[in-house]
Amino acid sequence: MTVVAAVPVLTFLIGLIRRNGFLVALRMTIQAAFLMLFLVLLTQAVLPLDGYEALGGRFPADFFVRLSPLLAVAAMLAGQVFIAGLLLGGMTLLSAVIAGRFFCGWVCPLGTTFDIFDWLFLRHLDRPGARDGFLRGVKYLALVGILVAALFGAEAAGWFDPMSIVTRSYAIVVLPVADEGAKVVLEKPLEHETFRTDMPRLAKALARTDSTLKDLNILYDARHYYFQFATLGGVFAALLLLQAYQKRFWCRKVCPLGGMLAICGKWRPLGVYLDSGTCVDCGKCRQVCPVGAIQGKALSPEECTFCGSCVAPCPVDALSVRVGAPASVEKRPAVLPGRREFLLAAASGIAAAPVLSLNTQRQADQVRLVRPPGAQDEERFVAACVRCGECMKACPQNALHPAGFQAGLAGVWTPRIVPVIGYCDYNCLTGDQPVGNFCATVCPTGAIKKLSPEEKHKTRLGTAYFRTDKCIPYVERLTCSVCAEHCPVPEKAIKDEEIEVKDFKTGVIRKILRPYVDTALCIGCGQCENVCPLRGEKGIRVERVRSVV
Amino acid sequence: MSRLNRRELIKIAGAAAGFYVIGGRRVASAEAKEATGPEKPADRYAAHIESLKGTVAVARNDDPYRNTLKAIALLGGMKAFVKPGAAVVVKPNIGWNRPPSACATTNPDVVRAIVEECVKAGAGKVEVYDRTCEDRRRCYARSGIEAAAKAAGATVRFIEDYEYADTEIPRGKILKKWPVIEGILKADVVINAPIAKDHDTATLTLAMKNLMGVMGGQRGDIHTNLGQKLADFNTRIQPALNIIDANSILVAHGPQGGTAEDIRTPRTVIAGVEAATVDAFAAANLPWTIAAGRKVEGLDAAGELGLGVVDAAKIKVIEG
Repeated sequence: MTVVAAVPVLTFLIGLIRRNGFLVALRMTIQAAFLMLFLVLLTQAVLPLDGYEALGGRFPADFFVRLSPLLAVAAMLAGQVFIAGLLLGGMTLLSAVIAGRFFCGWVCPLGTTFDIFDWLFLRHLDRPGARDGFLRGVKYLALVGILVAALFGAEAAGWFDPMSIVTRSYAIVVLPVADEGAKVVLEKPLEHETFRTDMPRLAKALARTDSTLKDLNILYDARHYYFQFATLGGVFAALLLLQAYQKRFWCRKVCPLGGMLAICGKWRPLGVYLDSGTCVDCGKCRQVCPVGAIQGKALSPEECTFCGSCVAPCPVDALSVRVGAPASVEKRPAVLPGRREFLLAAASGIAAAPVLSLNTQRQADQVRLVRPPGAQDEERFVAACVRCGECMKACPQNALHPAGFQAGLAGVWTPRIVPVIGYCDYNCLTGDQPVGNFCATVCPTGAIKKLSPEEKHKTRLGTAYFRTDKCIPYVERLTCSVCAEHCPVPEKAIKDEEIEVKDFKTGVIRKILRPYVDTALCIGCGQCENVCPLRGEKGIRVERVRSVV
Repeated sequence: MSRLNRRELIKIAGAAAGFYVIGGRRVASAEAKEATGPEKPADRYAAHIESLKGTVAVARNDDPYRNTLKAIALLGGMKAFVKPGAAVVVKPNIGWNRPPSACATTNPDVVRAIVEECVKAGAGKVEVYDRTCEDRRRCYARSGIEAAAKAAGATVRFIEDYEYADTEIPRGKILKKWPVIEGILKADVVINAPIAKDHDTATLTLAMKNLMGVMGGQRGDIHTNLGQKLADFNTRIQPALNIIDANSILVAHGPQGGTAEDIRTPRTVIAGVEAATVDAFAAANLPWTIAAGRKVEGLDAAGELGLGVVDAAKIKVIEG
């Protein structure tokens, strides 16, 4: 806990030392605090030993995802359902009405990530900071497109919303990479006996750090990795590296939530103002502004993220934080796309629904699209899921992964179970808890419905089918039955029959156990597929079908 | 001192990286314990323990805790196995995320009794661990074993991936080499504490099968030719003491599933110095339903390898 608190304090001190003014030091501190909160909530989104909610239910693990009004509006429109938990987004809208894009500059963890990356790797790059209109209208077009699509039932906000992006990127890319990196340092040396005998104190220190970090949920107990890692990693890297062209490129040009807050913040009373009467047009503020909000002597309230970097460098103190404009303020019209572009965006939104529902793979691949428990109604689920990745982070078995095209275009990055990597734990939450599926407790929109433990035990995710061309008893004529051993259904959905077989080589007749699925009992949890000793393609697979018998 | 130039810095960094990056597991050193088992306690008990071969102690009591104490006493007391200062590992079945009432894991009172006896005998350190089949935190907690063992004074901890050592199994017919938890190889005394259960493939899972909990690697591979492989492994890893919890047992749908109807209560603890002997006795004398009359995997192979007396009729019994 002290470490978490120390980071913002340190940031504040660093901010003061850098002499960019108290406002900037404060802003950096608040950014650090929110980023720390984000990291704490994400890493602590783990299945508790007692209780059924992450963090003991004291604070919602999906807090940041719920802060986005864009996700709130889009999810409620597309799903045609009122989601009370998403009203938190209203607070963000309110902050924009009062203080403009304050959220972007002080709260948004994606923005903070951009700033940190920029400061670490790109700060010496010479980049155009000026307020250019190039592509700046895209964020409004994206906003319109997403909202219209949602109106027509297509959920596209999850791909472009920054809260969803940052949660997904950290859960699928950043945290696993950091985990592996830390384990290379902490665990790899411990594999060598010479290291442990020659440097016992260091070895003990490494081992103790390793287990402490695992106890604190900062490191995973077992290896966690995700499908779509490369795609999401690539997208995240691209967003970070776009800053090599311009600082906070995503925020200024593309972010639809930024667009929404820009519109709400146009008439903000509280913010940074440029007194054009005092201004001597030296251009220092234009150089440092990370979002290029200043052009000439005009500071645009719809672009400004309230970061305060411009205040200290001004030689004549023309820039200040005020409530209400100063005497002379130059106004420039906002950079908006033309009417034609807006109509095109709206049309795209309308077209989104039918286009996204195109799923040529539906027949073949959808059988491998095993959804988490509580997400069996596919259409409803895809409309409500905002692809934030919370469930994927939270699932203790590492069973949930972002889908590729298995669910069609509409379902990209929605969660699916991949039994080869992780199975759906029968006893995810125990019988004395009101909720049986932990993934549902971290889902911000309720796309994964909460089920009681009894309901979860009866929810069929699919059915397991033997690949009799691979399964060892069928192919090698030897007893194996690891699948039957692990089947969690009390009456056992995989049973063994004793059969006589002839040994291939010796011709000797012997008895072996050969397993079969009792399709009436199988719930498709995937534990059998997970433990099958075969590498590569397993001898038993879960498919998302009901038995036709 | 002159400043490091870039070349020297790269050399040092490369050396450090090389040190870290040298991968691979280490093979158990030549000074590893002899293939016949861990170090025996004070010589004055050696003859006593030798006399216990082919014998089992059977204790019957309603209270699993007292039952366990009785069984240990019938064998001569823990002091025959644990000498003062010894490093002891108690290896119960913590494999499944189930409460004690499901009888998928060893009764925590049994574990508590064993740990207490070790502490009383003057053990230097008592560790309790298992390589679970499911999420390790929840298995440790829900089985009640973590809390019970800690309360009795044991160190309860998880085993990490780097704690396994490739171990040769010279007497193995099929299984020649397998990774084993290093702590087991280094301990002075290993006490095997399984719970007796029905098992669909092995027929029954008892003392010999419980040792799968100290195996690293892909344990699924052990299940083909399971009987021989278990016997092979038991030639290399031979706990000083095997205590089978048969207070409440799963007689069907084991080792993980099972409903209340599948549970019987023989209220028995079976203890002995040979895993194969206690297994043979447990297989023949507990109220199995599905497994009744079926061959238990590994017993014949164990008999052939000389691991104990596998004909239940020939086992000497000390009752109490």
